[in-house]
Amino acid sequence: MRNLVFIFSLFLLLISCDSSHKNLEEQAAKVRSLSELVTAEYVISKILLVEDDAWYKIGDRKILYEVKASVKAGINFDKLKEEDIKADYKEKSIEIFLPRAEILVFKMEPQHISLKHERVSTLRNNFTHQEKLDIQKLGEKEIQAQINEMDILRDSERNVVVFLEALLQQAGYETINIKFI
Amino acid sequence: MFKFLRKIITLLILIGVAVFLLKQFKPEIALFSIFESKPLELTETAQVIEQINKLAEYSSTTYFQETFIIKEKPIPYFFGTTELVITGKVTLRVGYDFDDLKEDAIRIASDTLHIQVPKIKILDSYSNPEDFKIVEASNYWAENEMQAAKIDLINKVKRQAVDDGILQTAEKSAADNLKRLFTAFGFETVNIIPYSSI
Repeated sequence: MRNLVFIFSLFLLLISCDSSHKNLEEQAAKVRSLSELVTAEYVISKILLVEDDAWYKIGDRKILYEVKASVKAGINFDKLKEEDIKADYKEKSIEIFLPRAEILVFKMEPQHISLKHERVSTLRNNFTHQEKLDIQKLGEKEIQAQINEMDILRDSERNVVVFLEALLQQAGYETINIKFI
Repeated sequence: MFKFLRKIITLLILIGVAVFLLKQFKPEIALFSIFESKPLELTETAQVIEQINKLAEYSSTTYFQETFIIKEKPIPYFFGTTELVITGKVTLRVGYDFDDLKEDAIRIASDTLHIQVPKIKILDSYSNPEDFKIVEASNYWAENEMQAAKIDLINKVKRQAVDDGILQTAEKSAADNLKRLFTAFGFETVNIIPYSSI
């Protein structure tokens, strides 16, 4: 009987050693200085549908999310070198060779992820929170993979030119030539 | 009868301990894989561009923090409580929205360019699904409660960033950057007039 109590106590001790969130520590914030001009934003919507069924399982599980993601593109001025700007204020002319536009922000915020439908057969397990997060992660990857097929970078460069031309005109320049390298 | 029962209980406990130890130290041995679900796959769906916006947001600073949120609530029809623990990486981008720039914000007096900048603000604050990790969450937590916890986590970092003086840091950094940029654009002296001084 003493052995039994010992084994049972050992078992209890082992299962009580779950320290999953006891070591959580807040990390120090990282602050970074940058110089970026965002000029275009695309708002993308997508349906995330998972149909979990297999011939060897009784019943199926289905879940459907509607998500919205925002992609922002623009110019990173940190990549602009001194020799990329040829300005002559007396002649009122300026020539700028800008770096190409790039994706600067991708966001798929929790408030724009909404569960629209969930159905689980009686003999199947419910979708766990981890599975639901994994589905959202898959959606995020799919949207990101298709960003390059969109025209956001071209739009962004066009908007940068319009913005800088207006700004430099206001600052007194008459001949403005903006190119991308 | 009691002896027999004792043997059965001992055997069950030993099996329990063995399974537990095996899962702890040799997790690659999939004892119950037959009952596990196959990896989830998304059914192919279209991606629709809903909106195209023309922006003029100038970011001078990013603020990044990884943090956590713990929520607790009573278990319905039962004693005790259940905890929800989520960690997340939050990114903030701080700077000017040049759409707020006034018409007469840029003026030249003698050789000096004066720019009256708009109010500094947090332009973006976000965490994507890939940035979150669920540490603990029982099925007592509903989907909307999970989403609310994630939003709370983002807001917590936002508040922390403001307390840390991110707006002041970003404003100083933006003024320095813009001064450098406009000096490169051919102006001898650049005067950035902060919103707070208007």
